[in-house]
Amino acid sequence: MNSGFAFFLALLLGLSMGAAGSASGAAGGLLKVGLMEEPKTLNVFGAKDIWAAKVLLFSYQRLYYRDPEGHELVPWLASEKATWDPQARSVTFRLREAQWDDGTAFTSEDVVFTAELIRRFRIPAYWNNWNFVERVEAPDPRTVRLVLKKPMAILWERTLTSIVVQKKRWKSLSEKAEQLLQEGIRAQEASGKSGEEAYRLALAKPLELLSTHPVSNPESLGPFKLQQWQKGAFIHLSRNDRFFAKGREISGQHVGPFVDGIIFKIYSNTDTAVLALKKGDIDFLWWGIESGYLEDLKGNPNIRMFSALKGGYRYMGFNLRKPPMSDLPFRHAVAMLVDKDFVVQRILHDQGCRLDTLIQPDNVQYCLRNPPVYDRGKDWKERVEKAKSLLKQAGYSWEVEPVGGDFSGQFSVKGEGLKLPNGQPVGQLTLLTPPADYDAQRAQTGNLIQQWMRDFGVPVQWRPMAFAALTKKVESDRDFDMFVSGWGALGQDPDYLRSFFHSKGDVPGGKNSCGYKNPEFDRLADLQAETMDLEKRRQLVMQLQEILMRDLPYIPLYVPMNLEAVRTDKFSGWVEMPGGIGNLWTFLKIRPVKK
Amino acid sequence: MNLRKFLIVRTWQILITFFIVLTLLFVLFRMAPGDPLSTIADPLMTQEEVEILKAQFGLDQPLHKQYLLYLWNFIRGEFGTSFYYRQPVVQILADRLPKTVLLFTTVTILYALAGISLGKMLAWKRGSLLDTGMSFLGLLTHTFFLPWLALLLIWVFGYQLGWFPLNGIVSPEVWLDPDSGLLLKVLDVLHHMALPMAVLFLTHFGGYTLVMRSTMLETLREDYILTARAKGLPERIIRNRHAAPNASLPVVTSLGLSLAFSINGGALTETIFSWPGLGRELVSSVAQGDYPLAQAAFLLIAAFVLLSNLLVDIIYAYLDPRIRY
Repeated sequence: MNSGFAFFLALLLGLSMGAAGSASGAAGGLLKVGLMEEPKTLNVFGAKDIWAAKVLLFSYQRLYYRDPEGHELVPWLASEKATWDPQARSVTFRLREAQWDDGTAFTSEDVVFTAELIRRFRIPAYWNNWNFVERVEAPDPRTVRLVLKKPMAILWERTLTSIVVQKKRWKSLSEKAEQLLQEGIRAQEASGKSGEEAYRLALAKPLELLSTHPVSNPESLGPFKLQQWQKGAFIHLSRNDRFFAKGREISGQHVGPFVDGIIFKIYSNTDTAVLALKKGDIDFLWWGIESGYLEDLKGNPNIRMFSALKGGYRYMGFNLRKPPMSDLPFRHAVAMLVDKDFVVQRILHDQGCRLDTLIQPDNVQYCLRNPPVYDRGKDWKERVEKAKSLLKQAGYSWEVEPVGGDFSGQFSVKGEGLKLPNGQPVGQLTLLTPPADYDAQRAQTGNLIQQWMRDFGVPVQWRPMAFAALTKKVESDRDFDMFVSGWGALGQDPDYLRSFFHSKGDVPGGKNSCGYKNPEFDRLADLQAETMDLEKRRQLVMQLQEILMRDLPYIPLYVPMNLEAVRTDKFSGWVEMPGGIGNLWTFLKIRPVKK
Repeated sequence: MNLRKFLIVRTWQILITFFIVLTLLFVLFRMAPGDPLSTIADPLMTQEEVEILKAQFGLDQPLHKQYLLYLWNFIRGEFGTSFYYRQPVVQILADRLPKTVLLFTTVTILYALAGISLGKMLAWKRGSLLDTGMSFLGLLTHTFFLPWLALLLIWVFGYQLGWFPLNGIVSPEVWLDPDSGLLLKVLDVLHHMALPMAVLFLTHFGGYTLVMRSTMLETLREDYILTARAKGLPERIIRNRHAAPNASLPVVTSLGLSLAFSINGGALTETIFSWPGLGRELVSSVAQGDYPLAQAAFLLIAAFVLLSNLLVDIIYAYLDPRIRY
């Protein structure tokens, strides 16, 4: 390399450093937020990733939203509580006066259009919230009436918290989609299909059209609107001056936004994102930080950490179609051996909480208060003895009986050769987990459980495998013995218990991967789904949890913490809610710090 | 065989190889464990919604039908729509490729040129302190673990000294400023390229330097070099015109392949520096089972590698007049 070229390079670098310096601070009133990936698309019907959901949160608004204090649903685009008429199986509510960012009025026509679009084209991820709605009416521009085919309790938490799109923006596309649908139905009918089958088969093309339609500037009813998306680099949202709630008092909260806009910067690894936060390149890292960074960040006076339980949980599932997992005493014995406190302390480093039922503890309305806790009041030795006696009573035996040691997980005599009640040895079992690079905590938990079960005399092999492969084995092929996995983003409505454990879900691809079948559970699960009275439903959901904790198709393990970090020297007013500070209220309440 | 005939034969070979790659990619992705829908479908989706998604992505069709459709689409120049981006994969590749080329192809050319020049010089001054020092340095940096070196440079020059941005391709502060002109924006991109380029340069230039040095040393022992010296030619002419072109033949092969593979970027470098290139996309599309995107990205790389092999063969004939096809 000659000296002229080196000089040229140095000059370029010097100039570019100066350029960056001269422009820094140009975006002074903007909140800078770090994301770990960029949204895949901003088409709300095509987006399936959490990054798009984070950005679209500021554009597409919901009829009802959870308030930051009591965490109850409060009218958001709606102006009042919805009225349920059991005789007419209908729910009616009024809308606030609001405008889209282009100045068009928001009316009940937008709500009706959104619902019809979702229902007509069965848009995945939305349709399950609307498939029980018979029709949606707009008696006047401010009133919406939903008539249901049958009462469904998810109406409150899921249907009425669904997003609303602008009719004006999507109308012509929906007409094209309708045309495709009609053509598709005709083609299917020509090939001998009819009715529902022809309709279902004809959906692929219109859905493809709707979900792949390029949306570079989503319409906004929310506090911010998209200004610029520099692909691969940043997204700039500016304040939407037409935001309906600006300056209002909603649910006792004075609503902003009080910042000029938001810049989302993309960081594809946590190390660099944490350095960016420390350096002040971003004000908030909208992603859970691993506990390993905690000490480093705590030492920084300009950084504050927030922790909240994640919106989901981790569990161990059994294949109830196979012995010995099909035996209740076996599952009880395993539950006795699984030391959740040890897992939380040693694997989660106390950044999480143990779980003893199948609804997250921060779901205060539906979480079972006093679930059966298998290790309550017993030390490790007693738990091993209890597990042993449970199996012995059921007719199991050992070549060498295990004896518990003084410490958790320790055995003074390791068990060997567990035999089924029919005298046959228990065959080699596998415990599937995702790999450590996908989720180290789940992988390590699986390894620990394997060790405890082995020392107890159960021949089990821990097998980490790619998450997609695990899902296929468990959900599609049903080819497994036990697995450690997790659910995320379950929301507050408890109807997922019905999806996960109703016997109707025990079909390939169904959510009841354990093969749990209990007619009493099915009856109560169906009943709660149709109970519109929240208190009555709550009681039913409690009963469901009691049944599940007695039958143990899953052993609930833990809920990890979501650790989030912000800079305190630029903005204040972060709002803590279940799931963390990354919620709409935070962005409506934060203000620049006065210096 | 003359060059024209050679080109015709090689083109056929390339087409056959490409078809095999095309088929292998289809088979390998379908054989891979896992279900592409498993990472898309959320826990609250009903089974019917999952079935609708499957039909929308064409995954409900038998494999042979999917394969025929795949071939038919390829012939029509259609590579499908990404399951995740919900965009034609051609658009995604067209967006990522220039960013990868900008960083990786630029740095590949830079470290190859630097390696060739340096290797030539070190061989000429063999045994000197410069030779020993630079050979050691080249070997040392060549063995550095790239993510470690990248994080170290980010920490020192990005975080502690604040000379360079920590990551990314542009600064929003520059690009959102209405007063920023084109020059400022270009300089901003160069500013962001500095650290990843330094990492790639440091970890790669040593390889080229050592290969060039070694082949140059062998060439310098050839009789025709002795003849050139006996003829009284200046040292510079002997080094640059007589020895270096012959010595650079293996380096050219390596450079050709490096340039072809440079379009797949480097998943590690792109991840650490949040560089929005093809490498990171390639890895995530494979991990998520985004068949259309992964297939198209691999096909693109295969096409580049095959064509660059052809190009290297042609360049060989120019560099070494003894080579005839």
